[in-house]
Amino acid sequence: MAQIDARYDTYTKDYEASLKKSHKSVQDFKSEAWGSFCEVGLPIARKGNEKWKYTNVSPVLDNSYRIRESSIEGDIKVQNLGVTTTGNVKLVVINGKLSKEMSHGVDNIPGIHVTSLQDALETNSKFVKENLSAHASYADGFVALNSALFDEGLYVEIEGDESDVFVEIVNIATGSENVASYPRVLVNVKENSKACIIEAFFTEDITHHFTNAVTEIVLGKNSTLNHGKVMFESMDSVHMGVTNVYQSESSSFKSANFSKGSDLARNEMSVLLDGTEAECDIIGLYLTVDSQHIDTLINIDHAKPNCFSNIMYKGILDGNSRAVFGGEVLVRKDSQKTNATQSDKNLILSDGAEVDSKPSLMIYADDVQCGHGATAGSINDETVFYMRSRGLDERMASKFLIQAFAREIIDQVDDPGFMEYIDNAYESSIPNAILNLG
Amino acid sequence: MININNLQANIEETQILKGIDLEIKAGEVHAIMGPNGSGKSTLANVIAGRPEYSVTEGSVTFQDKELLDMEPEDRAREGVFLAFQYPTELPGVRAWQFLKAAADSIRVHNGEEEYSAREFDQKLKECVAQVAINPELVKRNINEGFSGGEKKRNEILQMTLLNPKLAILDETDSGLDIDALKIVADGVNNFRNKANAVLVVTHYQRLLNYIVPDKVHVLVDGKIVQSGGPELALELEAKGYDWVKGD
Repeated sequence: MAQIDARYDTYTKDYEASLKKSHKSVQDFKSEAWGSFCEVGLPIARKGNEKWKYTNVSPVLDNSYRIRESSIEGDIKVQNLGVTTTGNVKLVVINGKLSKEMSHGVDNIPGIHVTSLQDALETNSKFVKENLSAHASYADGFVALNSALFDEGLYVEIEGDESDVFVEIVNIATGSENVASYPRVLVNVKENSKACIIEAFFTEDITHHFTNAVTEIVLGKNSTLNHGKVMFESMDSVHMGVTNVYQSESSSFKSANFSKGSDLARNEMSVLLDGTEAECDIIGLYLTVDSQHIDTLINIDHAKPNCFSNIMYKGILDGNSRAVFGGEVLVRKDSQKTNATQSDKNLILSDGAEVDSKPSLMIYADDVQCGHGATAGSINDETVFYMRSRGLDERMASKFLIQAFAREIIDQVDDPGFMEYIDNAYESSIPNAILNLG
Repeated sequence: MININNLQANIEETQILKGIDLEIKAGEVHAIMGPNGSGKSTLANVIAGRPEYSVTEGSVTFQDKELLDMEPEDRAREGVFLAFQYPTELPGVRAWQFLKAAADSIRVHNGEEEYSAREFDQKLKECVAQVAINPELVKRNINEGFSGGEKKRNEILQMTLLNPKLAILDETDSGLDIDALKIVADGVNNFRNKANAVLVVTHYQRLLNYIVPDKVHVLVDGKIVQSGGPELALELEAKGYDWVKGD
């Protein structure tokens, strides 16, 4: 085993404990991941490290975040923590560990099969062995760390397109301070299958905690997944999330990402379009206030021709907060007839807030349609006069305009229950700012 | 109700209104007619406080207060309402929330309490029924994706809901078919009473078949060139604007 950096002592203890309770096949998997983590370490914000140029993860290193079992599992009002009434399968994960007693729907909804990754590895599941950590790379220290430390993990298999499989994975961090959670999910949407999966992250009765979440999603030929991610953890938490998506021919992936929690958060999503006629549509909204720092990185790899991708993000920034947005779309040499668009628009409400938005396109094919832009929202005089002529002062008009800015993303959510939940969540936390209405 | 004296206004450097004198008393409906570019819409917008116009001369007193000193939202709260010629689409602004905020701002200004959600819902339902607008429209974003007729009808809905003292209709009839025109006219006729006033700005006489004005004024090149009773509108229709221009 490689020599471990002294700074990672706290993780070493958790790794050793995690290994002890695992079976042989899982131990092999975890020790390989741990070896990579020891070599790679956690990313450091410095020049030349483009992926982490603006985000410093040292707060993660400086604290002694430990895996801790929840003792108050039964007290959590999980019914208050769902994000839609439409979901028919709820998987509740407390501090990174699946709570079987709080989860429901798995056994009576046709078209879904859920097991732990640990069990799947032990029983030699071909799909899990071939795909776990095949899409998310250990070159990213957080992927390696999660792979070495995750509890039992979740394997979700979707088969069939007639049933309405709607899965909510509710991740809750709770208990004493400085809890570390390592939620791990592998989703297999089989050929011609269809489902919705929302991953939500919340905090209950705790302030400081660290979530290091990794999700891998594999879409079979002609399959459809409607995905959502909700990052509403406490303002003192750190969230490092990685989602890797593999798309086969004619598959469709739609993902809506909403973030307004955490003091420091990173949401990285990478999509590999590895079959023709595949399409992905990724939308997102971040709201940052006070000293929050939220970093979003979306990678799309157009590896095959005739694929479509769209990234549409918006941000609202207040206080001394900072947002980082990176959109990297790669169109490979033979990926003709690619259609790729991306945009990131930011509304900055205070002088102290700052956004680093850098959409980029690398195009190596010649017959493609691509567009990108990063602009801040502008306010239309007509709109403002219309509002004022109805008795709304600048403060009220500003509130409506900020909300309207957010709703351009929120209104694109398909599920009405999810949309309403998100809309209410942002409405109640829109900063009380007065826009320069001209 | 409103007393306009020697009102002159520019947009950028161009003078549009060249000295308007007009008095509208409570209980009256006045119509302003005139050819394109005569300044009809400018007059409507200057009263409502559109910031692109600068007033260079004159005064507008509204219930003994100088309107020109007020911000547009304060004019609205005092009871001035402008039905827009081109109502603005507000993507992402829910009609229900917007209308409640507008109604509440006026109520609070008048020393009343804000509507509870239930009270407002009831009130809005009544108004929706009164102006025969599709009830689904108030669940959507305001004016977004509405047809031309729906937008105009939505202005009349807002007039009915906000119950202003002075309602100004800026070419509300333009682009409407006869059925929509009748609905708009019904809205105005239901609205008008002894305590309020209406100023109808229009290019055509047709709306005035349904909303019978007490007085008609003809605006040409920024000035009122002729005033009279409802028969003036018919005369204009028959003879055209060249008839007054040549005066």
